[in-house]
Amino acid sequence: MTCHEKASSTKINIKQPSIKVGIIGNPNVGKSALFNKVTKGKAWVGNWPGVTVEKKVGKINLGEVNVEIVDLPGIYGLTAHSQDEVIARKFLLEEKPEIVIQVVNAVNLERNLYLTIQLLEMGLKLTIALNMVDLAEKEGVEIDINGLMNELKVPVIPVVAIKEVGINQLTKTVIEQIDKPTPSFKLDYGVEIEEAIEKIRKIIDSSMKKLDLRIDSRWLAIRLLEEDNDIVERLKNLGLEYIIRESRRIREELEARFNKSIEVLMIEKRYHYILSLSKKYIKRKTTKGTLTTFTYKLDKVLTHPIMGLMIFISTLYLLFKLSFDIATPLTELIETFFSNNVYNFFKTLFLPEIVSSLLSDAVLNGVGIVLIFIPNLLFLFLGISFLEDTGYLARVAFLFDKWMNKVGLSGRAVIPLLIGFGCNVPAIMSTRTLGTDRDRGLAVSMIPFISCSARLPIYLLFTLAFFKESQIMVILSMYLLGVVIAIFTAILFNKLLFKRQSVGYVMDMPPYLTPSAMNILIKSWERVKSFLIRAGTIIVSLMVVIWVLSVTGPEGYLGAEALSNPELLSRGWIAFFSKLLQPLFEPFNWDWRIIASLIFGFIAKEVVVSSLAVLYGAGEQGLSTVLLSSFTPLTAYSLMAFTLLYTPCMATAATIKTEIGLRYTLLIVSYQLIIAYTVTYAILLIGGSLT
Amino acid sequence: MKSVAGYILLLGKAYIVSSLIYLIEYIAKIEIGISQLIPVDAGMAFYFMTVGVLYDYAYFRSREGVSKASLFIALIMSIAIMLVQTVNFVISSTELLLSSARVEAIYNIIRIETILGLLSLLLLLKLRKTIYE
Repeated sequence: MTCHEKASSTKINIKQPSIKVGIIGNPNVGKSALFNKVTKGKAWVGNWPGVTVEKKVGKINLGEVNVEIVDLPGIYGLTAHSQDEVIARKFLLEEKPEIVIQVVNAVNLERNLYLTIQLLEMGLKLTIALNMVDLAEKEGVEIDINGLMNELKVPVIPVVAIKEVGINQLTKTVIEQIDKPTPSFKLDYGVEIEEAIEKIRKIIDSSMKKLDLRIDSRWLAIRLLEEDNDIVERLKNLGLEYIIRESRRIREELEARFNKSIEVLMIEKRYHYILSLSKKYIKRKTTKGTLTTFTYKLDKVLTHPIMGLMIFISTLYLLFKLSFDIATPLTELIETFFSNNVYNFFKTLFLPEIVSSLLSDAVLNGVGIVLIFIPNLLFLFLGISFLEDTGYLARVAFLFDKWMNKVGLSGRAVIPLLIGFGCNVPAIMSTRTLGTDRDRGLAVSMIPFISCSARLPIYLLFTLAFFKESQIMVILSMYLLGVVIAIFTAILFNKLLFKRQSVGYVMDMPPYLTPSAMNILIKSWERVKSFLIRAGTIIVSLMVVIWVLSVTGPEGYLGAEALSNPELLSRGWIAFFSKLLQPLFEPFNWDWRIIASLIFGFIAKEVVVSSLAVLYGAGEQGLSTVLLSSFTPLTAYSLMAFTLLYTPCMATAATIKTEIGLRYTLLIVSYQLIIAYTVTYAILLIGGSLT
Repeated sequence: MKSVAGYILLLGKAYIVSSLIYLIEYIAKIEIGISQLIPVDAGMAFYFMTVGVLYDYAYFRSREGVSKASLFIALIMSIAIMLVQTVNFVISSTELLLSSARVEAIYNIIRIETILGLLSLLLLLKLRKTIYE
């Protein structure tokens, strides 16, 4: 095996100017690392159509060939049971890639070969990237690469994606494959099943033109024999019910003969074949390598119910420290730069007041809100990507799986939820690691109820003014209230929206790896960039809307002064709408200024405090005294609860919109408003009867 | 190997004792010793406690052959907190130096987490063969 060769641009002359390549493989085999190395970090990140599973596409030039590389979700098979499998198969069937690279883990090659067989049966032009060959060597795993290549009739290239070893050879092989014919692969299922496949195949061949799929008719016949729902649906849509009827009849005949499910029989055949491949081409020097032993020992500590939990809490603390303590000075620098330099610069320009205020108070403030998130997001994602790439996150998922299952989530969801205590925005973005739409939807519905650090100034203001003696207990009760409502929401949404249970999955513990710095940087930057571009534009637009509603009113333009003058502000649209909404809050005994400050709180939760100060005509220092004369402790407590629950802030809402979609965002915001109203009403009723 | 095991126990105790000092200070609302020798907050005290327990577990598990997995995790955690503290120091000192509060910047670098992290680094160098073999 050759090592230490570095990837470079390969110059080969071929006819086709542009090709599409799909990278596929089991989860945790190093697909993303390989994708990043091949595309050299030049990737575009988006979502697969109609779902929120991340889609990464990279475009590179290899000599005269333009190659579009698509990173597919990690899957174990192509049976279309899980969403990831559906996406991968849809891509293979509909986008018709010229070449498919399957990344396999050399340490556990047998486990990866099931997917290999399915890909070969599909009649795809496959190239196998045998990843982590260095680890396999350490483990005493010897793979007869040439033997495997001859048996499967596809190129098998040894690579170490993380160290960029073998990438050059891999890209060269991919290009060479374009002009070569697709190798035929046929797994013998035994005389009776083969006869059945042949019968169905003949029927399919006669209608192949109608199907317009560049797919092997034998594969289609196999899928029909296994009653593949996706294929059945596709045929139904094409009006080819007779093929389904015929294949069903053939299958029933066979099942009657074998007295066993044909699907099970065929799966068994595949595993027998994998076993024979393993015996012929994979040799293990020892039953347990040093790496396995060490991994096993580390797992014993890291997944230990007590020790594992202590290590996890400590790791999370470090993650928070990294993203909040270290990022804070940088956030402050950005804030200072904006308020001292850019903001003042615009103010000093000889622009008409309305333009100057629009630019500085709305647009620049919006840009500032977006930019101050960057240090936090960057450090947090650096930490998460690091933990992900070392293999630790898989252990965390295992540790919490039992507990999270009770609310219908997988163990992985614990990380976004805990990040939510720092800031809801990165928490929502980190739900990307959850994989399925259902799990993401559930976790995202819970996160806005988690008390983020921006809610703390509100709690501090009210507790200092009204609950000096029991300040910690009152603040703690807010955090607990958030958690209880989040759990209730998960159970409710799970029952009403996601009736289907979480897709059961095999938790594959990846080996512990030293992560590649480049890979971590690329991954983190992609996530930050996605926030900047997508959520950023929404935030700036919303800031402009709120600015317009503040500086204008039924009387027309009130002047930029309205932003700091309570008298002018009370004549603006926000005050107008707040007064309109006041009857709704009559049972709470809240005046319009509280409602207006809650509307401003949509910008960022901590803005509630400064808005109250402006609206009550008091400085932030004197606000406590003013509040003491206008509020009772019960009103103060109910307002704290309402602020915690009523709506996600603008940045969080924008992130939910970009990550999950507008409809779900509207649903969450409406649901939160209803919950906030109900809980606040209940607090006032119970509190009122007690006092 | 015995001397290494003794060193591990000492380091574990240092982590645990500093956490306990923090707890005493916090509960009794008094100040004991030099403030650099205690963790900065409850989170870090918990972190120290975890690392200390791991070091001690590694020692008691086998006094001759150190329990490699726990030791490995404890070493990684010690070095991680040291690195985070160092990055924190570099970033915040940039800001502090600008405001000429150099004393605070220097104070940060000699904090307990940096000292213990550095001591663990020495242990890693001494034990790297045992751990990776």
